Amino acid sequence: MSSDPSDAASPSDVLVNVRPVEIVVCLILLGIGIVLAIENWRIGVSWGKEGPQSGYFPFRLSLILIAASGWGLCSTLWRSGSDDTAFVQKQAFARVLKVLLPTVLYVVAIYTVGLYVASALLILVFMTWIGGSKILISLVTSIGFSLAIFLLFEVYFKVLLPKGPLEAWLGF
Amino acid sequence: MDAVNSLMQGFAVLMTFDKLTLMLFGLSIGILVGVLPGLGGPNGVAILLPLTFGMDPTSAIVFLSCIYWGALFGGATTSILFNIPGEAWSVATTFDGHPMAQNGQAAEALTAAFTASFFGSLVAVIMITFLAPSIAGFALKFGPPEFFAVYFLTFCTFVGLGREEKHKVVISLVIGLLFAGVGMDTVTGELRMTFGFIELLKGFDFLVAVIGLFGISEILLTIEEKLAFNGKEARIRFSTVYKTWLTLPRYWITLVRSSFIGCWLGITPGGAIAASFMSYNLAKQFSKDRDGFGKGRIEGVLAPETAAHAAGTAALLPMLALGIPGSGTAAVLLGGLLVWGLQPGPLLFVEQKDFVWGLIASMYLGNLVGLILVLATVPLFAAVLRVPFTIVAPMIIAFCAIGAYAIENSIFDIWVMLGFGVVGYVFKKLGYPLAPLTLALVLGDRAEDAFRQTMIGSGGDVMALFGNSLVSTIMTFAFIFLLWSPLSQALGALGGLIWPGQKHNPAN
Repeated sequence: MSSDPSDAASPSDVLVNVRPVEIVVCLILLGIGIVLAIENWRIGVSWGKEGPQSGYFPFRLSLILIAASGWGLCSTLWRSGSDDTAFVQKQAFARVLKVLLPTVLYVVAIYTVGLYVASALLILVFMTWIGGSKILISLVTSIGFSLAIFLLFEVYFKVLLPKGPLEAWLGF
Repeated sequence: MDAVNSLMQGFAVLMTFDKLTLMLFGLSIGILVGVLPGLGGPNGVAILLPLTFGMDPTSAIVFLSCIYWGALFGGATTSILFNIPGEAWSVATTFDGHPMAQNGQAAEALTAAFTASFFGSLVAVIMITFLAPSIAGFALKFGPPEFFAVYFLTFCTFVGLGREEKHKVVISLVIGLLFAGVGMDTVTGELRMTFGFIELLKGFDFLVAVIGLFGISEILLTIEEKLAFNGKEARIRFSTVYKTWLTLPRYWITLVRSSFIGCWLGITPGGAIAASFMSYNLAKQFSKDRDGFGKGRIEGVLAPETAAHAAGTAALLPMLALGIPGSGTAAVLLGGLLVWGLQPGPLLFVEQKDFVWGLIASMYLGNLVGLILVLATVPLFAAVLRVPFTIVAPMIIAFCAIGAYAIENSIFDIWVMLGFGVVGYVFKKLGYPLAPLTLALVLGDRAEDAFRQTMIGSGGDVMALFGNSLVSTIMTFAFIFLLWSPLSQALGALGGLIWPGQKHNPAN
C-alpha cells in the first residue's frame, strides 16, 4: 500500500500498534481453534460405522489452526516490540468508523425501508456528511442511483431485492 | 486437429447478437470495475453474478469472463496513471508505468501495457486450447485419492509460494476450510459448528465471503489511507499507438519470456503475483540498461503486464480441466458454475462442449475486443477516478449489499458480508493473505468429500494417498511445494530471482 511521507505521524497520533493487534488476532484465532476442536470432538472425530464421523476432518483442521496461531502468538511475543509500527492512526481510524457505522445502519435500514431507499439514504449521508457536497446535488445523485439500480435489477434483469413501504405504495 | 474444430464450434456458439452484446457490456463493466478502487476482479465478478441467474450458462460465463478481462485491462490503467495497483499483480507495473506517465509518456505506457496484456493472454489462451482437453482427458482417470492429492497440492503451493509469513498462509487456508465445513454435513446429515444458529445451517456462502473480504475491506482501506487521486491526464492518439506498436517487436524476447513465466506460474494457484514480479526482475537482469528500470523503461511495463495477464488467463486452465481455480476470480467463476447447475471438473469437456468451447472462443474474442475498447475509452474511464470517493464508495457498498443478498435472498448474508469485510480489513493490514481463504472456502467441501471417499475406500488407511504411482507423484510434488522456501533458500541464487520483492524498492 502507498505510504505518503507527509502522513508520517508522531507516536501520539497512533491509536494502536501492529504488535498488540497481532497478539489479539492470534489469541482470537487460538480461541476459535479450541472452541471448534471441542465442538467437533463432541460430534465425533473417530471412525464410525460407515467411515469417518462428521467431526473427523474439521477436528484435524482445528488442531492445525491451534498450532499455527500458537506459533504466530509465540513468534510475535518473542520478537522485541521496539521496532513496532503503527497498525492504525487515530484520524485514519475515525475515517474508517465514519464509513463503517453508516454502513451498519444501512443494513438495519434495509429491513424496514427496503434496499433502494436505504441505498439512496446511504449515498445522501456519505455525500453530505463525509464529502461535504451540496444537498441538491447529493439528492439528485442518490435518487438517480437508486432509480437506476431499480431499473437494472428489478425491471431488466428480474432480480428481486428487498423492498419497503415506498415501493409498495408505488405498486411494486 | 480436434482442438481447432472444437474451437471453431465455440466461435459459432459465440456469434449471436445477444452474446456479442453481452461481451461488450461485460468488458465495459469490467474495465470500470478494474479502474474503481474497492472493486477488483474477484468481488467485481461476484457482485455481478446475480445478473446471470436468468441466463443460460454459456451466456453467463461469457459475460462474467469478459468482466474479468476488462478488469485486468482496467487494473493497468490505475497502476500507470494513478500509481494505484488495482490488483496485487499490478504492483510491478507501477514501478515503471507511473514514472513513464510522469515523464509525459502516459499514452505510450498504456499502449504498451494493454498490448502486452493482450499478447500474454493470447499465448495463454492458445495453451489452454491445446492443453486443456488433454489434461481433462487425463483427469478423467482420477479417483478420489487423486483428486484429494490435487487439492492438497493446490493448498501446498499457496503455503510454498506465498510471500507472506507461512503460519499466516496456513491460518488463512484452515479458516477457509473450517468455514466451508460449517452447516449440515452432507454425508451424515449431522449439524457441524452451527452452535444452534439456524442461519448457519446452510453454511457460509463463499461468494458472500468474497464480496466482504475483497469489496468492503478494500473500501475501508481506501478511506483509511485517504488516497488522493492525483492522476495523470491520458489521451491516446492513434499515431501514438501506432508508433508504440512499431517499437514492440524490439522487445520480443521480453514478451515471449514473460508469457511463458505467466503461463507456467498461472497454472499454479496464487502464481500471478509471483509471475509479474519474476518477469519484471528477469527483464531487469537481462537488460543492458538496468539502472533505467524504475525510472520509466518500457520493458518494465511490458514484462509484468504480459506475465500477469498470461497468468490470469492460465489460471482458468486448471479450473476448466480439473475444477480447481488458479486465482480468486477463477474461484468465483467456479462458484458460478455451481450456481448454474454445472459440475466443474474434467467431465465438462465431455458433457458441456458448447459451454467450454464457447468460453475458450470468448477468450480470444474478448481480449481482442477488450484491447480495442480499452485503447479507445481510457480517457473516459480515467475520468471516473476523479469522481469523489465519497460518491463512489456508497455506491460500491450498495452493489456489495445487492450482490450478497441476491445469492440466497437473505439479509443475514449482508451481515455476514460486513463481518467478512472487517475480517478482511484486519487480515490485510496484518499481512494475512486472502486468496487462500477464498480458495479453501470454495474447495473445502470437495476436498473433504474426496478425503472421506479415499478413507472409506481404503478402510481408514492414510497410505491410500500413496497407493499408486500417479497419486504418490502428486503428493510428493505437494510436499515439495510445502517445503519450497527452505528448499529454495538452499538453491540460493534462484530464490533471489523468484522473490526479489524484499530487495527491490521502487523508490530506489
